[in-house]
Amino acid sequence: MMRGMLTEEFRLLRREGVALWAMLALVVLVVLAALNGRALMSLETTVGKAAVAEAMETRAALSQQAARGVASAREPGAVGYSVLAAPVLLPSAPLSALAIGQTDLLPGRYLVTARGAHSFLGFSAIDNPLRLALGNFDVAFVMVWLLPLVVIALTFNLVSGERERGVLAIAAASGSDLPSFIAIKCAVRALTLLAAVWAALFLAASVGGAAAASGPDWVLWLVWGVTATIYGAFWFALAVWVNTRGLASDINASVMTGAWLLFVVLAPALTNLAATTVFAAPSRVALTTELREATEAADKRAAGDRDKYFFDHPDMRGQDMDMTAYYRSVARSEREISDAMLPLLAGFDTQALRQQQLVGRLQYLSPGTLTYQVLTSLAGSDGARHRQLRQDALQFHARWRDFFDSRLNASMLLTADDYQRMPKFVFREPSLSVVLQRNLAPLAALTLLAGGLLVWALRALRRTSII
Amino acid sequence: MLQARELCKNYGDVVALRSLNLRVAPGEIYCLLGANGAGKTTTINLLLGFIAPTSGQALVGEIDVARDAAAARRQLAYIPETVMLYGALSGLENLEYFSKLSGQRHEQTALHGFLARAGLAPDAHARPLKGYSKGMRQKVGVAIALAKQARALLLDEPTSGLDPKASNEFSELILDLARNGAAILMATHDLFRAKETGTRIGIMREGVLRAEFAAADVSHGALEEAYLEHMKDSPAVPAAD
Repeated sequence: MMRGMLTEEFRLLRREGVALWAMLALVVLVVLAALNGRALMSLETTVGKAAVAEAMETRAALSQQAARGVASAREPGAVGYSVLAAPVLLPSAPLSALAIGQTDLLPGRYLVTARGAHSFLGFSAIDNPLRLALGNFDVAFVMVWLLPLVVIALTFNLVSGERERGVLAIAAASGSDLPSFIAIKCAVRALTLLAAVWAALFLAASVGGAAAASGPDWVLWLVWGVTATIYGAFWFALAVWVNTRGLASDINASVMTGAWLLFVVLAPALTNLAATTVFAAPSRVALTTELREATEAADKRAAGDRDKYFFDHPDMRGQDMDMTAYYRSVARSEREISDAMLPLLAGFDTQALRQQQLVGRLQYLSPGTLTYQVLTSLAGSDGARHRQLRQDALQFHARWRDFFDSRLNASMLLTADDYQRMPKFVFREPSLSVVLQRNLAPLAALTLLAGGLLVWALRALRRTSII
Repeated sequence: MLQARELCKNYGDVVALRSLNLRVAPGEIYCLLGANGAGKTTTINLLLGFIAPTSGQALVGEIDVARDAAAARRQLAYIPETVMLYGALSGLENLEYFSKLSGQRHEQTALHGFLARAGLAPDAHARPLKGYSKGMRQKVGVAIALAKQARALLLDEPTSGLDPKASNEFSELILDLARNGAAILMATHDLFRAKETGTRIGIMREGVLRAEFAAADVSHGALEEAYLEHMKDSPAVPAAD
């Protein structure tokens, strides 16, 4: 009987049309979102590649000039502080097209020079304020914000509609086991939705470029899909539970929409508000003022150095300062400015980290926030990789600066070979196990929530009213 | 086949049914008359096991509905006031759906046969139910009962809203079912239909069966007079029917 009823339910679902249109819309939205994500990611990649190509071209040209003995290409101060920059890029994560997350808010590339770290850490792209307010249209957005609406459309009248049509009474009178009858209805809708979600995710992976990924990346994709599925199951379980309350279909729809508003719109907004209020970022105005003051102080000190230089070298008066001496002065100024600026810049980092930690705790209040955090974390766009990039960039900057400063202070000129020996940046990509471990607790919480609610709903189903 | 023994149902302080004793034998059509809130639907819901009795017993055959509703329902078919079913499916598909639900498997020809016997024109069998009139949907409801080969039918105001022709056709159908041995309990407001179709007629008021007649022994006029007499000072539409 079970198989026969499953076939009948699939036929009913197919005929009712609305459900299939809703699922088709979901698939189309996911594909469009993946295309949008890919467009943004490929823009990032193009800009990054262009920066790398430009830097390599400059370095090759300088190397040739150094081989020919061109003074400016051999002077480490001139090359390190004025001419050459090393682009530091965050490699594109395999699932980055699925969840843009904080990719467009946090810098994914730095242009490192021998100057102070403040010179590149302050980089931030100017973005469309509307997009900043609304977030990106990506697959994570579709899953977290729109998937519940599709589930609501499919399930708000799962039991109440049958009751209102009199079908529940006729079905019960026909001798059918009512919980099984409703469970079959739920199962058919859940299976169809599951198929739609996974088909959409597979298409998204193909469109978004993840299909060409390696084995571990497919594991990430699988966990990504499982997370979206568990989140969908939560909404399904909630719908079944609401349906067991014996309310009318329109009230069910209102309750479900209210839950969506609470969990998907209000809770994340309030979490964000709490994080930015409790751990507010330091003032940008104060940062600018401090930079100006530190630069003025360094300039004054550098002017003093120049006066002293010309006092010590009266024969050089009326000419340019010796290049090595000049760049030593520049290096000293940069260190002074950096020493003044870095604690302030660290304040931004500290507050951002505290905000992230608070969001990490508050995410358990809403399955929507929980899911979004997991999806962006798996896609490498939750900010953790960006923080890693910043740390790696700072370490790389120290090595880069030392490369030039050591030669500047030892009055050593650069050779063509030195251009090959310059430090190389390597991003320390977190391993798969680290990423999975990071998401274990939120994923477990989401599973428990969805599973618990489903068990509760199925139990309540046994007591639901027929009339 | 259908029996109520001292059957009572209270909703809090509201008494919906008080010590109802009633018996419907195979081949018999028992018509329950009464105003809204008289207890007709409550009686049907108790016999279907949709609600639990406060005291007394509702029996289908020898089965106590409160103890084993599933077994009791296997003997029953139910046609509500409005048979909505699934508008997206055709009459034939609805019949197939509900037949499978009750564990029956019928060939397509048999299903067409049930629909035809219920009086549904052959050209309507494959049309979506959303295009059916109320009378046509009621016929699908009857076909479901036929396919189930139910021994007893519970009908809750099935002719309400039907035009006289459709109503008459429906009466013919249930008479046919009764002739084939089904026990039928029908709640109705329609005195004329009750007299024409019923074997026995009961008049309910405020949850109490006030009077009972053999349809053959009472004229239309006498039935109307008795009904109006019992309806005097009847309360206006309480919550529980």
